[in-house]
Amino acid sequence: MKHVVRSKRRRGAAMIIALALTLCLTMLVVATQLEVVTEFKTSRTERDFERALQMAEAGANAYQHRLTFGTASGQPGAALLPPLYEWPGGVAPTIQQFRQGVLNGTYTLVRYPAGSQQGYFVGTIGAPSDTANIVSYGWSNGVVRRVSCIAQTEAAPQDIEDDTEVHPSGEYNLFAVTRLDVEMNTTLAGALGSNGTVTMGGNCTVTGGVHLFGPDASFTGDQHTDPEVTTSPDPVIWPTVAQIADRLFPQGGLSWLATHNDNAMATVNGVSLSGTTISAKNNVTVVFTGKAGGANYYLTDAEFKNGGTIRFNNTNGPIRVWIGPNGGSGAWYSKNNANFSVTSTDPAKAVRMYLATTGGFTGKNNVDCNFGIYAYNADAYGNKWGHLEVKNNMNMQGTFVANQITAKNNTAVTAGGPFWQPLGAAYYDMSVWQE
Amino acid sequence: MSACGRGSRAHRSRVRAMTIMEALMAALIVAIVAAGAVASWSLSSRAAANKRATEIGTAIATSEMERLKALRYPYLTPSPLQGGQPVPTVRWYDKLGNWLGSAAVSGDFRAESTVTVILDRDLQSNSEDMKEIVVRVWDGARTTLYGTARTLLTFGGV
Repeated sequence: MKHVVRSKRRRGAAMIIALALTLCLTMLVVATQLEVVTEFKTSRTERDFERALQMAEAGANAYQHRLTFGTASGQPGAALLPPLYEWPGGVAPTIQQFRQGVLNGTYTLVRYPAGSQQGYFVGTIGAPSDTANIVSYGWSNGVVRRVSCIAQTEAAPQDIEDDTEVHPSGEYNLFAVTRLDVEMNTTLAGALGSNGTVTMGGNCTVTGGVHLFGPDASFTGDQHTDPEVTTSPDPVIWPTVAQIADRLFPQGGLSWLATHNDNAMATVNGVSLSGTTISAKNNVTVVFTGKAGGANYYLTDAEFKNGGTIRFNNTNGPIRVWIGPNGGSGAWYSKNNANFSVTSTDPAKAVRMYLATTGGFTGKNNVDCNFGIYAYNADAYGNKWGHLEVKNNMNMQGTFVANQITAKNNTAVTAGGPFWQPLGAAYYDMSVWQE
Repeated sequence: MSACGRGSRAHRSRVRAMTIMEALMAALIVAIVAAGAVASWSLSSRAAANKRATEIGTAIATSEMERLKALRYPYLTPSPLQGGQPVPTVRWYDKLGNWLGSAAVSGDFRAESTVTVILDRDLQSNSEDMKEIVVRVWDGARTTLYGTARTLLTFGGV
């Protein structure tokens, strides 16, 4: 009887052991496979991590190339040049926000190579000027990396200086960065240029045509105004007044110039100018004198009216008048028969005025000007300012660049050399790079 | 022989048969699972080797890319063309990813790099050209591609 019970107990033991073994082996197999899958995923992520950085760098370079040389439509490889883009509010998204933006279609990647699951998207913080703050995102199978680069303009080498979009010679008598309004019997002997809107109306004429640059440029005319209009996909990149000053005075730009200038060479009714403001009215005579290498005058505010005479004695050299500080409220205001004159028309001794303030340049009521005016400035966030307003029988000779320009009521503007070429043809050079 | 004795023998015989069947079934199951485990083990070993090779290939591609970029744009001349295709520069690496020197003609990894002008604006070789660097890392026999790295290079760029 005992034998039978023992035998019954043994029955099924082999199967149980086999099943236990099977279970162990299955667990081992599954664990191994899971480990392999995890390892492969890690390996793929690491690879994508490397590729995303390569994409981000490729994007930054392609964008820099686009800024320097513009589009290259119709040529092989042109599709790799990213469209111009400014990050809204001057803030680039976080990596997580960018990933979401790609997935929901906010950002369209430049696929590199075409059709692949990798690519880049690039933009700038603020508008590119003498400095371009480029933020580039690289994407590889959902892995995102970001690089930020600061590109500064540098003098273009000889083999490309004729073809850059940066700091062109600017052969326009009027160039408005944001807006240009020409109204009521205004005559422009020369060419107009703008990166923004151009509005002409009221029997205005322009002999050299209207040249529109970049995606924000447009022209509106009336039936009496039908100039030749040309367009270019890339905006002209002008340096700001602050950047020009920084380049000319590396000791500290306009701030340095405020205390290291040639103001003492200027006279008001024969007396040396003291301080940085001029209020010349009722037949007052102001003389600015040039010198070899250029005399630099720094003013915070200037007002000329009622027959004031302003003489630029540039026989001995060029004259630069700076209105500062950056973003200040000062202005150059001239009206009612103020009379400007230069003693030399030699382009090498040209008279030029730079306005870094928000007050801008105003000329009205029978004022003659024969010097260049540059009134375009911006802050680090891309906010631009600087305006030129000329009206009521103004007669302007020279070339004029400003953020906004208004010319109206029998104003005549005649292109006169030298054209603005503030810093020479340039290209963007990446000076700072970080991830 | 009594009936009781015959019944007991038959019963023992049935029990023995059951035990043999059971043992055979168990052995079969264990054999099948063991075979699967062995196959899985083999697969895992190969996968680990592949993964290692892929990682080394990626690392080689990255280091080749950095090496070429360090030469800087003006000194990166485009690869010569043969039949319209760029002829790559080949460098050899051992299984640990160490460069085997410029005299090597074989190795565990074969890194092929090309520099091409991907955007030529004026049909002249100058600083307006946008260049492309592509690095492909193969096994020594050039049968398996382990990694590809590519980027764009411009005058004044990073």
